[in-house]
Amino acid sequence: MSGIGLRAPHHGEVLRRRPALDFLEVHSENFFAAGGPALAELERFREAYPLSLHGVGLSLGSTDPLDETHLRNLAGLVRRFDPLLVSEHLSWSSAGGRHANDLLPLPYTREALAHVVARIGRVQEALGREILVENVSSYLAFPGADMTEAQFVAEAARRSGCRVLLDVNNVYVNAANHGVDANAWLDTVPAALVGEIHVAGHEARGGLLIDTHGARVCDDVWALYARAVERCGPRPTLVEWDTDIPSLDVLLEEAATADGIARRAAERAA
Amino acid sequence: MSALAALQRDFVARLFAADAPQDPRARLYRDNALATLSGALAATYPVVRRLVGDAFFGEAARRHALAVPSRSGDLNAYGGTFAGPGVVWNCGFGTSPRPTGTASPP
Repeated sequence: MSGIGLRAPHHGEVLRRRPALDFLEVHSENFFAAGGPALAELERFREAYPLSLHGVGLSLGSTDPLDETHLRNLAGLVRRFDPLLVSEHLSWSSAGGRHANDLLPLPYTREALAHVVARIGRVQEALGREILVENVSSYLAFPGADMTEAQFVAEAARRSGCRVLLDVNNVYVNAANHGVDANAWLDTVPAALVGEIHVAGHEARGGLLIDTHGARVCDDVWALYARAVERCGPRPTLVEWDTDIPSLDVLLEEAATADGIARRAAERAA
Repeated sequence: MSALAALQRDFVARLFAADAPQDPRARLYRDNALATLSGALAATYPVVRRLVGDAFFGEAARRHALAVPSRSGDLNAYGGTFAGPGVVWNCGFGTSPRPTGTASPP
């Protein structure tokens, strides 16, 4: 049950070869234009594969008002493409109307939790369907937390009635950056809440792990992935690669690795 | 103002402040934000980039990212004013000469 992030250098090759994949994931914002070649091309991918619409710009955790235009654009895409999955990040991006266009971490407070739960509810209402929210990588933590990140993610999903897009690379990166136990992190999120899994590569820089999406998935992250699918059962799994994009075959190899791990985990669980 | 709103307001103010923060973790977020916005400009203005060269473009884009806020979560909406007269061409370089071999702005 694996897919890849569809990236511009691979568009033609994917349409030509039609590799065996369970879904393709695209960034929702790249298809917000009212017409044009990008949307027409996405129709062709949709004829061949289920789609996952992955948002990066809704700024769910921001205290700025929800961007109604953004939400309308997303709702239009959802109606048009009837995606298998719709996801956003459990993060924030703007304050006072100024966007960092980055996935900034939230403080893990009761106040922030109540805020994102209300916002997720509002988005699900506007879209008329369940969304998934992804745990993000982070390089700093705000003081005054009332709970751990994993508790925050799990509670946000449980209270809002959405599901978790579990990014195991982000769990690994954050565990290293904040001195947290990655296995305990995983075990905090109830298996039934996990609706999709992301895997990706990262790099070490300046004493931190940086979530670059620019390398193969490392062995440690694959081990964490195996633990996740053993706990949760097989879930749609996406190989994310955004910088230094390799050949399509490399992405397909990574997707096949995920499938193999999920299959072996299912056999062990049986 | 709620505690969350105050935290977010202060964080974004530090992110785009004139002086980079000393803390390497906060610095990382600033560098990421400026790189993301500069990257959006590079994707939108490939011809300008070729004309002025990577180094000049990179510095102009970084200054633009600090000075001109992004107002949308959709990065494709950023940079509408970047190549206008007097912006990329005179973006605070002061005495720096215009890159050679390029036309004067209108």
